[in-house]
Amino acid sequence: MSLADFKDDIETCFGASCGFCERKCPVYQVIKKKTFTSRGRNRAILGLIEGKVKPSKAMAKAYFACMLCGCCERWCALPDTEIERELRKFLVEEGFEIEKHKENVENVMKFGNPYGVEDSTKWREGIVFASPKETHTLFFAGCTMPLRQPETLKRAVQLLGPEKIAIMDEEICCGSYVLRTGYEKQYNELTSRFLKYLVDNEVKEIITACPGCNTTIKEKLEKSDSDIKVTHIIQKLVEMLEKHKLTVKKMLGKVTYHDPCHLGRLEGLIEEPREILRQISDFREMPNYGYDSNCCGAGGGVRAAFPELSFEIGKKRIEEVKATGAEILVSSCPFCEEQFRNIGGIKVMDLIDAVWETVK
Amino acid sequence: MDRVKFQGGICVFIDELREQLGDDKVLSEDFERYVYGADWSPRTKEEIFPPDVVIVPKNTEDVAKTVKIAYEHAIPVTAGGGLTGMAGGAVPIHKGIYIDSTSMNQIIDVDVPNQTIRAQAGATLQEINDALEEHGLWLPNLPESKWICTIGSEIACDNDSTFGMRYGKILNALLSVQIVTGSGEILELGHRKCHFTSSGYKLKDLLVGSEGTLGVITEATLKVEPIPRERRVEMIIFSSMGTAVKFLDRLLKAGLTIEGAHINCKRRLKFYTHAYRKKYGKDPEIPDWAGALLAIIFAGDKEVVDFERNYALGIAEEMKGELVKEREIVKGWWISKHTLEFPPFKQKWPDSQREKKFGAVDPGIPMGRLEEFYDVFVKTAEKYNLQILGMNAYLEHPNSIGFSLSCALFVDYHDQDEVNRYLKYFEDMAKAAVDFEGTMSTYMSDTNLKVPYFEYEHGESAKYMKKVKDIFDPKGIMNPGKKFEYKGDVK
Repeated sequence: MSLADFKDDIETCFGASCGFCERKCPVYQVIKKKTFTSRGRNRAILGLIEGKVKPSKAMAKAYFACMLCGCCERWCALPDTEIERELRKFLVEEGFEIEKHKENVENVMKFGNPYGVEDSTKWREGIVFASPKETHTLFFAGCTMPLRQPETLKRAVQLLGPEKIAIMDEEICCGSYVLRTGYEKQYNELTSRFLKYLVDNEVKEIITACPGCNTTIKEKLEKSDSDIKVTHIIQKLVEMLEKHKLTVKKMLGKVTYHDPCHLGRLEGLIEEPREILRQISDFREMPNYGYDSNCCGAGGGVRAAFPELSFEIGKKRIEEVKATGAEILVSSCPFCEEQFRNIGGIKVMDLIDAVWETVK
Repeated sequence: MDRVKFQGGICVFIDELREQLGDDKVLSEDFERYVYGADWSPRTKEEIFPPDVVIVPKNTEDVAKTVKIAYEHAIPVTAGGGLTGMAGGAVPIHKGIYIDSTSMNQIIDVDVPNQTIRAQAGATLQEINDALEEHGLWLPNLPESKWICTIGSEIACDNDSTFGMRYGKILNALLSVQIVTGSGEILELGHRKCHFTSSGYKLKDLLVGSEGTLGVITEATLKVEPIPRERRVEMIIFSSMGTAVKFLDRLLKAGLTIEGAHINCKRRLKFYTHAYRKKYGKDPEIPDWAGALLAIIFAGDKEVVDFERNYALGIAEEMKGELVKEREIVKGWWISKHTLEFPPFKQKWPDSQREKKFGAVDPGIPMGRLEEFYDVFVKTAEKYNLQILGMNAYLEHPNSIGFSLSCALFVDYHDQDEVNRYLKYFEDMAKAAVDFEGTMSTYMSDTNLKVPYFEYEHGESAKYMKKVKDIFDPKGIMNPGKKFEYKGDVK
């Protein structure tokens, strides 16, 4: 793929010029410059394709300031986030990469996580998993949860039953970070290793704990015509509750739920977490939820490269949480949760922990 | 940058802008400027006009500082909002400074007892309504672009509104407006929070439809209205557009208060039923005899809405009108027109503009000549071999039959020849409206397109208009090339 492959979409955006992407774009709502919107980016890409605009450091600074949250796309009919990813790839190829992203990508390639931590398997010490060829179901922990929420991961495994799931000895990164920061070569390298593992080990289902991993793996498998099923853990929890393999009681107080962009808007898993939360808490909704949820501000490499912008966006979301009167903010993404914990002002809990605490 | 060369190779005015406003409010990279070089009007990608520099002000003082520098160096200044204009009104065709007013979007004051709101010019109509909603109030001057269209643009281009038959156009709501004139002076024009005045000249009214040629609008005070409790939208089929006009006239005679009315020709409805087609995979079934589909909006307390609706339907029956019973058709139109509740990832505009785009002319004609003008529309489109999208008459005057016409085509914006033919169509239709004892523009203003035939409508009065412009804009730098020709002269 190249930017020119999106010429038709780019010209359509120029033709439509509706600007609907601006209304809820979390970045544009903080930085009121049209260059930061999908329409603005698409117009600049038109300039690049037409040779009227040249890539630059300033362009990279503007176009990497996007969480790829898909809010623009929700109000569009064009593949805006895919176009933005292609633009990032182009900028990296042209030598206009973001230093912090480069550093994190090197970490991913070396350690399997962007944080530069050598061993991220400590959380599973003492847990006996099944072998993949036996169970055909792979549990994929991701890079953030093992380091930031190891206890949550242990609980996830307990709820699923370690004897029913397998785990990779050393997880190969799903490629989400490198894909979203424009490093195609590294993405291809990671995903081909990952696909080979899946085939070699006869994996038929992957259960993820992280929404970013979920969409990235799913996208890759779909493009590879694979029939391996990808499931997020909350889907499994709902299934277990429905089949009465898990019983919970209503013991949490006032709770609201933040839809991670990759799980809600981009994956359509909107009702599932609510189904659980209604059973275990005094649940209340924020005005912007589901497909219209506001982003936490951390994704797409924004927190690493533009911490102030990221903080500003996350702070606005916490204000929405507080307006509901909720005492606990539940979510299903380690990345979003870490962002909210860092900003502070509200108790943050993963849905896995919320279920764990209410299991009878 | 051409203008920089024109200035003798020295980037004086941009340096001064940075010094006065700070680097963050001055955008001069090529990719930044390119974004602001076009709006929604039919144009090829060769017709993008990036300004020399873009300013993102935070307040009126920033705008005043900008215009003073522009005045000193005689640099064109074009202010814009959502850039969803349909005729290039905010496109900086002579480059210079573009002021992106959307960075000024603060709601300054909501006065609930007096039912007014004061907002910065860059607040979108939706943002204004979001601020009013909790008080049970709304600003009903809402075009389809309300999420993006700013209040400054609504005033400057004298836009249309879905609810015009009850609330009129923006002039009906505008109480006071702050501008920065072409010499950088800050002026407040209007009558504060009072609905009208008989004192002085009504300079505020000059701003409506001025397209930023007199000054940059920076703040406005508007009269707002209580949100009606109930709303009911219906569609009635009539044999002709003229019959639909007579029906509406009959309703007014009966004493009904209609919130909105839109007369669609049969072809036009197709454009507005995108949601229906997406859902059912087919066009809505409209009988062959249909010549017009009237969308009519009733609003108020439930009992009143029910009574008005039933009374109106009774009259419709007498006039052989047929109610559209399939609610999905009505709903599809209403989503497209007002609620914008598009399914995720399926907002209608991008896909509907992929090959050809919406291109319209916006004439006004006397109420009794709609049928006659519809023929002119069809013949003119055929003359230039352009694909007809359809005609819509938006009722825009409170409690009377005064409409804006949208005579729309599909224009292939990839094809320069077709865009040129569209512009010829645009000119013919504008002149035809004047010949019909009407006006060539009712919601897009004049832009640069109507400059060559501006005097065709205004005759000798155009000279007085130019004198008015000279008072507000002594060096002719405010959105030059719009309404009047720009000669690049420095006085």
